[in-house]
Amino acid sequence: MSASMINLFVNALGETLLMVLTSTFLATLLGVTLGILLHVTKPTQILAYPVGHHLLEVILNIGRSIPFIILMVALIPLTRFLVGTSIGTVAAIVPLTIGAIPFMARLIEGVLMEIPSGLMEMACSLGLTSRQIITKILIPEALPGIINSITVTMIALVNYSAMAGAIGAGGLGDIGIRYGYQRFDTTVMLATIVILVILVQLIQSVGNFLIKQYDHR
Amino acid sequence: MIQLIDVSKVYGEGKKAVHALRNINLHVPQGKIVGVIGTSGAGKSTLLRTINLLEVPTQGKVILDGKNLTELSHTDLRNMRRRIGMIFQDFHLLSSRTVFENIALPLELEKLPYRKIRERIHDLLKLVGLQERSHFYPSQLSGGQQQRVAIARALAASPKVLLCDEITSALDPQTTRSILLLLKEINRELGLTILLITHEMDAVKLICDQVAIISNGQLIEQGETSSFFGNPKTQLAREFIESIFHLKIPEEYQARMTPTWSPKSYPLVKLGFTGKTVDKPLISEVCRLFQVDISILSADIEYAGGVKFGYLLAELFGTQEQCNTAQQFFIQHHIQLEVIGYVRIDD
Repeated sequence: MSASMINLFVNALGETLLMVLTSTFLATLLGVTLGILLHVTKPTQILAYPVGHHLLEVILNIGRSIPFIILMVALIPLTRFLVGTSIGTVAAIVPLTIGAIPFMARLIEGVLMEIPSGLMEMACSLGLTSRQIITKILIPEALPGIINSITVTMIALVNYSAMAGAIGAGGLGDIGIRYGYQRFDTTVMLATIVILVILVQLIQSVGNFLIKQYDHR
Repeated sequence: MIQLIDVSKVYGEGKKAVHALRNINLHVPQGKIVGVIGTSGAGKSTLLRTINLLEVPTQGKVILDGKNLTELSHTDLRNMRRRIGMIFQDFHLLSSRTVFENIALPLELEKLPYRKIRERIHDLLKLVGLQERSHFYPSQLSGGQQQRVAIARALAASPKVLLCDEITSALDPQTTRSILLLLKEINRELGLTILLITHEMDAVKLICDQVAIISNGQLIEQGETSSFFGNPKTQLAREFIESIFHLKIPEEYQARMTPTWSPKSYPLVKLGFTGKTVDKPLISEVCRLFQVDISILSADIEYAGGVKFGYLLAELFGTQEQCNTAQQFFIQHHIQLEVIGYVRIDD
């Protein structure tokens, strides 16, 4: 493989990492928040608000129904508005983030449901406010699950970023398609796949390590 | 200290309505340990939860330290709850926090400086005997140790009242005993008022000053523990106490039993001892006086407050007349007597 090819891979990896890390970070902020809201607004929970809960549920379900490739196109006006262009690595972060938020929110809701209801009762008996219940009970108790959800989302975003590459976002997916698939260059295709496999393994290992650190159950 | 006045709790409406509590009146005096005993589904847990309003009563007043809790605002109620400690059957410790951090939780709400929190937790750990376990996580502790941590946490904010929800049901008998004795010690040393609900009579007998029976959402009877089990005043209380004794007639006997007397059969009787029973060795007296032989099948006798109470299943061997006089003798000495049936002797 030529030096220019290696250079191409280094750049592509940088682009993929930029897309994946930024969109994971943003999707985590919004997804965790919405996941918590989705959980605590249920009729039996601390901030019971059935109307808001159903509304949120409908919105998140719509978000999850739209295929990512269509979402990317549909969001072009929003992307232009936010980053000034609809083409390139930075532009891809917008649909990647928005696509990941509902996914993440649902995962987080599932994690929160696993927390024993007795802990809520205990918290009420100690006189914790709703905010304190969220910050001192729900989030710390759910932390291993939250880290796992972030890991799963991040790996899904590695996948989606390749799809974004197909329509001009750059990154490893772009190289795989243009050089590997369209020019029948098996070496490049294999190299792309190997890099992606290593990347995914690495993300999962870091996730597992952190879960182990925080899981005392 | 705690007073429930005419408290009722109804779940649902109309025909589907479930009456969990019906017109409960309960008084827990300052510095006393009061036990509420009842079978599962009797309304014990709901009763306990109305006191800190985790369950809001449909009707009635909850008065704690002179304040009617049902009239408090959200904020005042939250502050009041900090003065009411509560411990649970399943401990409810946070798995993400160490022993130290679990006990610190209520103290964090008080916004105490860290140095004060550390001192307080040190004292609490000493009280519950877990000084060495400060940095352990709950999953590294035994059930009894976890319950001790929960007790320390409940005491952290210096509550006036401690509510105990079936706290020993998940523990083995020996641990149960040590946890109960710890509560008694806390009650004595800190003058804490304790309300304990349980289905185990042993727990009540060991530490409670007073006891109340709840059945079908109704509080049947309340009295001093020493005389309570031996001298139930109401029929319902008597039936309840009878139900917690375990007397079984062996299958083999049941097969040979007939409801009426016939030659070659002997009466199987159930003798009930209460506080009213004359305290004399009655069984051997009967044997001597009436030449009746007595074979005991099963017995469950408890001793509390200077009184023996409980039940005994026995066969009386003698002629019909001898057996009848023996039965009369028991009744005269205030033993409740019930002839369960007549056992045929096959030979």
